[in-house]
Amino acid sequence: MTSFIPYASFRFFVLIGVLLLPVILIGLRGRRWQAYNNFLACLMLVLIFGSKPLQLVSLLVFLVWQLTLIRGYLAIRQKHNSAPIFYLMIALSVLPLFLVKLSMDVSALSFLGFLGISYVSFRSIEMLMNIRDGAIKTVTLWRVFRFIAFFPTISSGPIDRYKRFEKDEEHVPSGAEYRTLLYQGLNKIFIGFLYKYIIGYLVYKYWLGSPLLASNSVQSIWLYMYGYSMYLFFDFAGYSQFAIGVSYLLGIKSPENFNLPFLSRNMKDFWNRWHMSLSFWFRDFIYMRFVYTAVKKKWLKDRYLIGDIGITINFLVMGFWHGFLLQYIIYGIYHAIAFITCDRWERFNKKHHLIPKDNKWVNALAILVTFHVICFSFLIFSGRLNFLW
Amino acid sequence: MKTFRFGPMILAVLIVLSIVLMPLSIERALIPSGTVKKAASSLDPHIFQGMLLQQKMLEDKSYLPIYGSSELLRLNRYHPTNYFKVHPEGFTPFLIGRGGMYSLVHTLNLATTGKALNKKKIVIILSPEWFTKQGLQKVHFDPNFSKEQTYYLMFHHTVNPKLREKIARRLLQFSFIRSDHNLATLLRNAAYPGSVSKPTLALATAQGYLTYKVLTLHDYLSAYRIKPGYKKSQRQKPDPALADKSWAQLKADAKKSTASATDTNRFHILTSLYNQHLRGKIASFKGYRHTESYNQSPEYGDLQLLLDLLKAKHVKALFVSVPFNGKWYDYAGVSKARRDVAYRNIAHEVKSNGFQLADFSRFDSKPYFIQDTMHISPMGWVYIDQAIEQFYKKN
Repeated sequence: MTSFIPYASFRFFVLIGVLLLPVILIGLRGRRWQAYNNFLACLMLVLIFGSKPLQLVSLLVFLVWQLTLIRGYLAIRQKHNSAPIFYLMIALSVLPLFLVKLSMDVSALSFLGFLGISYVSFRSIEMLMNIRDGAIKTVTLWRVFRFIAFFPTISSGPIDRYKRFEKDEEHVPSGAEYRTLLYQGLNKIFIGFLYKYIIGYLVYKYWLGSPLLASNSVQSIWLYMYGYSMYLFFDFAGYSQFAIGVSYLLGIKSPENFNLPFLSRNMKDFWNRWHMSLSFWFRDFIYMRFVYTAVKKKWLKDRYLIGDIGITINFLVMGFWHGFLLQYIIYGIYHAIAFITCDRWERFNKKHHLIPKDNKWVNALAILVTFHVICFSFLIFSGRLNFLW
Repeated sequence: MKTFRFGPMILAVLIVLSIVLMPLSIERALIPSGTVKKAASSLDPHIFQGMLLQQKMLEDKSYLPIYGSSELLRLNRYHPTNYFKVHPEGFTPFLIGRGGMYSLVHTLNLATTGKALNKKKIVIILSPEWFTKQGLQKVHFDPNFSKEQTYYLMFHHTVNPKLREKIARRLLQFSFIRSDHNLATLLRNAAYPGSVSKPTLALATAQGYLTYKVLTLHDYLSAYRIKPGYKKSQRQKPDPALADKSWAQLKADAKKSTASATDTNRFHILTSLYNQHLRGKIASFKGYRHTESYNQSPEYGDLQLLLDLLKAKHVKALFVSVPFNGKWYDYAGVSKARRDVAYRNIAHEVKSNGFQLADFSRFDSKPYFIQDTMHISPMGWVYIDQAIEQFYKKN
């Protein structure tokens, strides 16, 4: 069977073009045909994973597992709110992802997993968290399924939130609203083509692929660093545009993932612009949760220290999430250090008024420095420096 | 009311479609002049797996294409490319071949040359070691198989239907080709007309045609990136001193230089090669091919496809029958009697189909025609140069 990896081939675009035609025609008339959307959700899973039956089986087992956890936890939560059960549920929800990430080091596990398992896990964990908070009180299985296995974003995000998704699903756009969605969606898809298949491709082929960059000299690694950072951005931002664009055509406004990240003025700014749906997820469900609990339980007096520990945990988990490989862990630690340093410097500067803010030269310098700090982190991430350790 | 600008998106689609669907003739015409000249002795595999440059070359009367395999990469000063540069006879050899390019690879390639092949003079070098019981195997065919050429064969009816059917059937015997869904569907339809349902065929045709057009676009672009397919050490410069020498003199000189490079071992294999790869473990090669025989081989069938194609196009082809290294094959456990079967069969097949054969099998048991276990030596090339010159002048 032919494989249809999302957005990886022209064939895929032709396929979704044909399959979305009924959705678009009905959408333009201000309607939604839920049965077809359900059918499409199932069909796309089969088409995306069908060429690798093992993946399809893994996915189905995984979905049943997560839906059972969500449904089961909701039932328990309505009776009583117990922390150990909540933590157990989170652990069980993370377990498949953990095993798959472990398979990078333990090849015996490599039969596990499927494309996009981490993004699907994020959605499920988010639901469990919101059930605990009481933000989600009822669910329907079909909707949870459509949310968790939402095919436009199944392979690499963006990571949507259940409440937001639910809101879009419950509001059927009028004809005029859908026309706007259609236009925005198509526009995004075309920007995706420009980013991923023109700029990203050219950078990959002629910059990263240049024989001049093959040696391990400082200059060639330096040039590789810029090239890789550009490639990473254009490839992933292009992909995100496809995913968001196709979501729009289905009437779901999946969140944005990038907002001119290379123009960030500091590290905090950067994480508000780069892979936003991921960094916001981490901010809300790791950093904030930790800080909130630590303050509430009075683990430490120094609030700044609590914040720094929160940041460290946040980025360490992010590093491990990328994979249990040294380069990703170092990447995580590096970002934690960069973030904390940046934060400290800002506080120090505020107190002593060393450098004025809102001066265009200072801004330009800040952008330049931040840009290099970011690019260096991607160099670590790329594995190009692996020969060092 | 917001204005929607769909214009740029439509334009983008049109631009991409017009580039991808550009007709073959325009792609061919866009290849800059001078590219064919550059490609003639480059031995870049992209040329063999493409079509555009070869079609352009065949339209140009000044080229004599030589089809073969790995021996073409031994570009010493007696190699046709070098010899006919210093001793021009009105043609420039255009080399098409690398390791593993058996008759079927050449058949597929020549089937995609359109009308340009008609009545053309060409040279084809056959290697007897192809004609084993197994014939062409995936390990050799896969890297030399061209999807683009196969699609061309499916979409352009420049080969008569009976032959097209035979070629398609032969290709379908290879599982790596069968696993390409669209291509296999088209091949099945060509091999067994009517065996594929109309909707399946229509879908495969549509998808296949797009793939095919992307491949021809790649083919066009590869004309700008011609790189040598040989190693630097394999190529010598043309030697102007050869220009005025008689054939007898050339043969004597080349023999001397082959002898000095191969006389350190009883098999007359290049000293450097022998010392590096064979000397230490020579015992392990004793009889290592003793089961090999050449009386039956799918390769004879593949050669027949090639001959049928050339006949249909009225091509004037010179076939070159190259000997084994007799001494080495004796040691490897293949007797002279068995080797003679290959020579006889090849000669019979080529001649009975009405083609010329330059038969050098008489050098089987004599040294110096072959410089290792299978590749043509400087002396071997002189004999072949002479045969090519006679063939070119006479026809």
